Amino acid sequence: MTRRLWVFGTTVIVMVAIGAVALLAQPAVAPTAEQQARAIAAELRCPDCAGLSAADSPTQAAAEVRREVAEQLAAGRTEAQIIDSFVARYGDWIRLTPPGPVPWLIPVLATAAGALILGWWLLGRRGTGAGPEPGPAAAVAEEDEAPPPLPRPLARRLAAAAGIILAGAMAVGYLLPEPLSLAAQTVVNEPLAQTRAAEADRQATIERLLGQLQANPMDPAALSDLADAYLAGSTADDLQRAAVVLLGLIGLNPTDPDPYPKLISAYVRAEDWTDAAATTTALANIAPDSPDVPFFEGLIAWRGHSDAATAIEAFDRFLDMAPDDGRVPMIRALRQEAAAGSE
Amino acid sequence: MRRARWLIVPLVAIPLAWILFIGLGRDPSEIPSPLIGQPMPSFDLQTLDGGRISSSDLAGRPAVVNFWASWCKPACVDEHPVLLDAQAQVGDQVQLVGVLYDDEPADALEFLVTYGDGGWPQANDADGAVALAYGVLGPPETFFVDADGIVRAKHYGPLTKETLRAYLGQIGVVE
Repeated sequence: MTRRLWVFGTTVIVMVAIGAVALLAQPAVAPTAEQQARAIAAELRCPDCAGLSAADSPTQAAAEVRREVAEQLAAGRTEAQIIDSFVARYGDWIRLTPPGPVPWLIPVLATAAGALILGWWLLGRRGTGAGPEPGPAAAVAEEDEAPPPLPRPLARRLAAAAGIILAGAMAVGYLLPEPLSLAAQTVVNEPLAQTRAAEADRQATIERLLGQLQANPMDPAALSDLADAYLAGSTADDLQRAAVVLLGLIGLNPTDPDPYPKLISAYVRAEDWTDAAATTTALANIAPDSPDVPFFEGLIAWRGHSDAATAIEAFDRFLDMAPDDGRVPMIRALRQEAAAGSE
Repeated sequence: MRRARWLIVPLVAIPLAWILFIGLGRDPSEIPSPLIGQPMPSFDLQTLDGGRISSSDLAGRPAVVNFWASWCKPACVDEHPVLLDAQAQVGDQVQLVGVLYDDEPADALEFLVTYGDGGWPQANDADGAVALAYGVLGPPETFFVDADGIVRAKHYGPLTKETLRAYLGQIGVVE
């Protein structure tokens, strides 16, 4: 009997140890932005279906949740901020995972209590002895009369110890602070963290410049910096704002060629070929010798209109005018691409 | 001692059953919208007649923003005459706006031809972004916005004449 108890206890301990090692040995992989977006969507309820997460539901509303999560993530917002933005519209109902540690402890405690009760019941009962099952009256009598046989309290103690070990191991795993936790091994995704930091800086710069411009709306230096900050962004909205600022800057001093190339590149990035071409013509009028003119003429001809002949002619003019320009390798590559495309 | 052990079953099972009964029986539509008392989420959408409607067009006037769909039957069909009636009665005091929820414009136009077009703007929320901004669970859902642009009430499910009248009173519209 005692050997069986030892086998039971040892098995429990070995299983807990294996589980802990397995959790620790999980490879720590930095999540991609897509995986992060999916993980956040999995914590949000699909708005128009019962009991599915936004990550798992095929409805339009769930797709929109996923799209918005990815968008907010790209804008540098944290998981908590993103989830809060949904709670602000739907209430706590939208959360699939409860906030705070208390609800997470319930299954741990329930498991421990279950293990305790099961062990007590199984081993405790075995302690009453084999042979024909005694009737309830006999059992009561036995319990009341004789002192309990030795293995029974031992069994209970062992079962309790196993339950405590099990609960303890799970609680330690869940409750350790983030970097040590067995439940969530987080590795900072370096490139993503840098992108986020840069985006936060950019937004701060924009705020600061907008503040300056409120005091002095015609400050060319602030306008120029603001245009640069918008151009550093990647959304259509950023490009549109950059174009508006640059047009304002050009309006202040139409003969200054500096803002023109920036405006053209904003149009090119937004694939607005008509405005890009018109601005290039305007630049050619005030600065005919600028290598930016053939540079953008070629870019617009090739990227915008797939017109290889015009593009190659313009790229050659650029290479003649500015053989030492930093953009020469890029233009050589584009020229090659256009030459290959025209054949 | 032995008898006490049997008490565990009802002591555990009854509260557990009660918690599950309360929790699972709850209707999510009973949750009050967190938007109440907040400014209406902004939108700028194309309408079915080719124009545009934006939240800033609604400034200075109470508004009723109604999310609906042609496939939402019978609830949206039941609700439609109530809205038509409101447009006829108090259309000069309140701006009605329909927002399509996960719907095809062609199907929505067919719905309006069949059940009557009250002439208020019908916005096409093609990707569902506006529904998400308003925390819509499913059509029909209706938001009542006062003249200051603050959301004052939200109704889940089809409106009746009586409920609509009560909500309109909350945003300062009286017949």
